[in-house]
Amino acid sequence: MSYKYFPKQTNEDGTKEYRTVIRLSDNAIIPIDNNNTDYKEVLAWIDEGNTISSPDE
Amino acid sequence: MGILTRTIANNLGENPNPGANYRNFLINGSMVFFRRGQSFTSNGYTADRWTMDESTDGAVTVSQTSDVPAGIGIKNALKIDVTTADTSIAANQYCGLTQFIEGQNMTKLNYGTANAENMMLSFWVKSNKTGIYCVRFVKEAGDETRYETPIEYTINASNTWEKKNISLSPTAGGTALITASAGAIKQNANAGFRIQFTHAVGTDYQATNNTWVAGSNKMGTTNSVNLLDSTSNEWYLTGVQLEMGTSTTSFEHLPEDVELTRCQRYYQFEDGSVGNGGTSHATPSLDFTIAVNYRLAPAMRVAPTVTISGTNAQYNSSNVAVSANINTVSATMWHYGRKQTGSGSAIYGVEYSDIKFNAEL
Repeated sequence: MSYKYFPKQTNEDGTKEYRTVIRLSDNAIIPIDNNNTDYKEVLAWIDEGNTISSPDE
Repeated sequence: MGILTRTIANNLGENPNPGANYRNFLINGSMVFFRRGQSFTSNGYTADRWTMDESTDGAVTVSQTSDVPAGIGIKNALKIDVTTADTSIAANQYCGLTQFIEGQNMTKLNYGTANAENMMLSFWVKSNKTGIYCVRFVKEAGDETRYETPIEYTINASNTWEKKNISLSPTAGGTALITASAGAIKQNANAGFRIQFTHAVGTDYQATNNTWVAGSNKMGTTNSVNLLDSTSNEWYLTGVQLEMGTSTTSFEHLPEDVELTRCQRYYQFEDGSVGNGGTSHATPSLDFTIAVNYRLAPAMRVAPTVTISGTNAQYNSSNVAVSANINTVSATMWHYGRKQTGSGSAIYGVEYSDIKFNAEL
């Protein structure tokens, strides 16, 4: 399993942040939300030493 | 006065057919909703809220059936059909059907205190393979400790629907784990409890019947049968109810629209297409967005994972595909599309189809 960030989104104050990551196996859009079950898997994957790839801008 | 007395008595709980009061901690216990499909050969969600996990050398097909017990007002059941046999389950292999329950829906149990309540699990089951099966009960860890116990039940007669009742004591096995503070169920929208009907349990995952222990994967006992030992084997389940108390009540028949709404908190989908098109700009300085705002109703448990299985396209004014760069998802809304800046011609439209929103536990 591997992931990449979706491009950063602009907040109301003009700052930008990542809000979702893409699961590359099926292009699922996973919100960066600690209560989302799929994002918990992303966090576990990161704990194993992996890194989310940068987005296609 | 006699009529008045009887009315009061009924209000005090003598009604043998109580109305809906959401006493069932489980959702879709009547297996009426199979919104992801009618038949499944892979692990994952099958009937709404019920997920299959089969890790043996065999294989099963899970499907919805109208083969149900007579006279209980239920029209569907879940069927597990063994399609590849595994006559020798390895130590680390298992097979089971699970439902997770949100912790915040189990507040009244008072787990983690001396006043922790008893629960009753009732269900209808049928199989050609008789013998001892198990249900695994899991108090999820939350910020505390995960506790588990398997409890045995017996299918006595082949190919005959049988009603089973299982009592789950907070002190099962003479333990005091659930009644101590670490036995608390975390009161939030994450998994707080789990039940799993198991069909094969390797020795690594066997534990003492009806006894809470700390740890994980206590799926069955040494007595557990192996349903997967023959391709002739089938197992059916419906009318599943988990409720607080020391005695069971009749299955709680919620209106289907209510049951559907409860399922939609965890999974929604759009079979058709959604899109936004027809806008075209061609100016030296572009700064506009074409996107879809897809409202999720009811609100989902958390911001869901979104999967687009069909069309996933954004086009510019020359009908050339461009990538999406707008994407925000919450429990109530999915906002997705393309923001175009710079100069030159702008995008023409966006279209998406066969979209799934998954907020399962």
